[in-house]
Amino acid sequence: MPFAIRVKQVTGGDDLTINTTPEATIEELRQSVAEAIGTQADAPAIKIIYKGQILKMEQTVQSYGIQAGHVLHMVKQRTPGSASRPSGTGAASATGASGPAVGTSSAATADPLAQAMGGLGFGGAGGAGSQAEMMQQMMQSPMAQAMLSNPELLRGMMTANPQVRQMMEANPEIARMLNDPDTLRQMSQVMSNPALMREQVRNMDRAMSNIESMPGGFNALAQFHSSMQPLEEAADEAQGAAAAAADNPFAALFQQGGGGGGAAGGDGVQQPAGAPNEAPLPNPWAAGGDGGGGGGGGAGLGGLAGMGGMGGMDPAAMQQMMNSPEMQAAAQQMMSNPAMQQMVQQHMATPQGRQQLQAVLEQNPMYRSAVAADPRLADQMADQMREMMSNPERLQAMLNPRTQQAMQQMMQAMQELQGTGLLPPGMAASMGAMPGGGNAGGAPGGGLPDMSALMAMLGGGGGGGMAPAPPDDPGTAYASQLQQLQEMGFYDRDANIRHLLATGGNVNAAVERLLSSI
Amino acid sequence: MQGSGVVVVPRNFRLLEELEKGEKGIGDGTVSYGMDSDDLMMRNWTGTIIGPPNTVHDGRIYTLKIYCDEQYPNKPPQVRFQSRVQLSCVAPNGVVDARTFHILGRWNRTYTMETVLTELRREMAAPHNRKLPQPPEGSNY
Repeated sequence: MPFAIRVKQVTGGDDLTINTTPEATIEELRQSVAEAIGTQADAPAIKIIYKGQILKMEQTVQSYGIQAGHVLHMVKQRTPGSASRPSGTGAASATGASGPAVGTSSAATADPLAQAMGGLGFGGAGGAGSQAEMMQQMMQSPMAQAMLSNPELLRGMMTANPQVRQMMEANPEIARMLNDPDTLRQMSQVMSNPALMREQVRNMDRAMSNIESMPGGFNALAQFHSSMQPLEEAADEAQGAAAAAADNPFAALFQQGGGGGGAAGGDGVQQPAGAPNEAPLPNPWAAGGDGGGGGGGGAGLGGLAGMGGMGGMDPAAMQQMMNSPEMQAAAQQMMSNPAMQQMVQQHMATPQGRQQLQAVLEQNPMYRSAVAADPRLADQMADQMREMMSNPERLQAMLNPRTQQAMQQMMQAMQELQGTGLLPPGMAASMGAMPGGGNAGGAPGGGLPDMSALMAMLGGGGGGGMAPAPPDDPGTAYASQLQQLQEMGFYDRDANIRHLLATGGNVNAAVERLLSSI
Repeated sequence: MQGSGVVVVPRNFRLLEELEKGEKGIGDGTVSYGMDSDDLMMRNWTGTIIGPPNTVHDGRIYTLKIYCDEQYPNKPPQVRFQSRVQLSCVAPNGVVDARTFHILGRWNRTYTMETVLTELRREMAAPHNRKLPQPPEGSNY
């Protein structure tokens, strides 16, 4: 008697419904699964899990007691070749690896290509590679999600960047793309799903190899590359600034997102960029042409990198602070003292430390108003700050002269943003009060907390003004999350709603809060 | 139950509930568990955790043994990794340490094996665990 079971793809993708029989072996079941996801060749990489066990291929469906309607889980493990590369999206390295894979092209031609790819938005992803986990965290944070799900906002931010604007004027194709809310939505969708992003990067990679192995393909690519030069420069600049800005989470976010977006555009011809596609690209030219648009997206978002994070800074105050040699020397000294670092870390690990930080923040009118408008910001900032403070490298990097230079650059961009009316001028004004307020907070570590408060504002302030209001009816808006919480054993619906509201619907964060409140 | 208004689910009902849920699959499928066959007392369970992305655990499948004694769910189950793993809350012999893993340490009878597995998975993604060098994939205790 054949029956249907459901197979969930743990590594991303829709659930599959597979017909099987009690007598079928797990090997046969695996073949069916591989067929259903369209990659017969990948079958050996698929592992099937049921009731906590990795199923053995020679066993039968019956022997595991699998019945109609049961749910199995499948994991597609990486092949040994790609397993050696560091985890994370690793877009840049994936691109480089395409060289040997293309049998007809020499290594020499593969190299400039890889470079070109690096310029076309992938550079962002490569630069941010070490921040992959950071990126993911950011993407999953409700604030980032909210931001990305608002195409209008993205567009506004992009058109406010003079470089992007210039690019759009010079190239109507790109302008059209950036003005199309659908494209933007697709891009942000891709960005917020790591699995999809990996997929897109891989697809782009394959498209490029295809082009390359066609007669004349490389020349066309080279031409394409040189016509994209201005874009690349804009992207590079943004990337450089952001990298120097040492883990500004927003920078990482948008850079990597830019890479993903670039890739999305790259094969947008083939598929709606909403679902992973394993099929090879039959028409490399179409893909290449559209890749131009994709690259535009990448650079555009790369240009955004700084602005998102720089939220509401008072350029003058910040500049003054950063330029003061005493401040720099003192901070540098402090940072290089291991005892100090240890103390800061310890301090941050205690609840009192957190409270003190909170107090520092409370001194700032802008923070207060931001929190009043959106309570979940408070937690987010505290977390962000704690993470920053507990990482000496990051602190050090913030004090790096290059960082400061980059910040100044960003501030100029900020000023322009204000000019366009995207940011209320009051924001900047209130930011001016920050350094003073920090000192009054009197947390241990002298000038250090000032910096941290400031830095936290850099990350948090940007998103602060833009975070949308919580949904009108949390009960329905968070229905699935509520059910999840219920299933986890949190039966207090009201508390669940409260915590979901506070975390913007993030179940994990809500669980964390629920557990700590028990 | 005596007038407390809260229904205390007895051990076996609770475990049957969990068994059924394990068969139907949980959430996004990143953790999974089921009862080992031929155990009328429903004590021995097996669980798996798919390593979270962007960590050293990415794509790895960790198998665990969960032992629910007669006190479950009033007392936490005993949890032991079968696949070798390096985590701050796991002893060198694979046993999950209740003193450092707060879900076991501060057990609440509303917690389930799923809670244990999802929290362990989250632990893998914690900053102090995500980069730890790991034993070769597929090696067992």
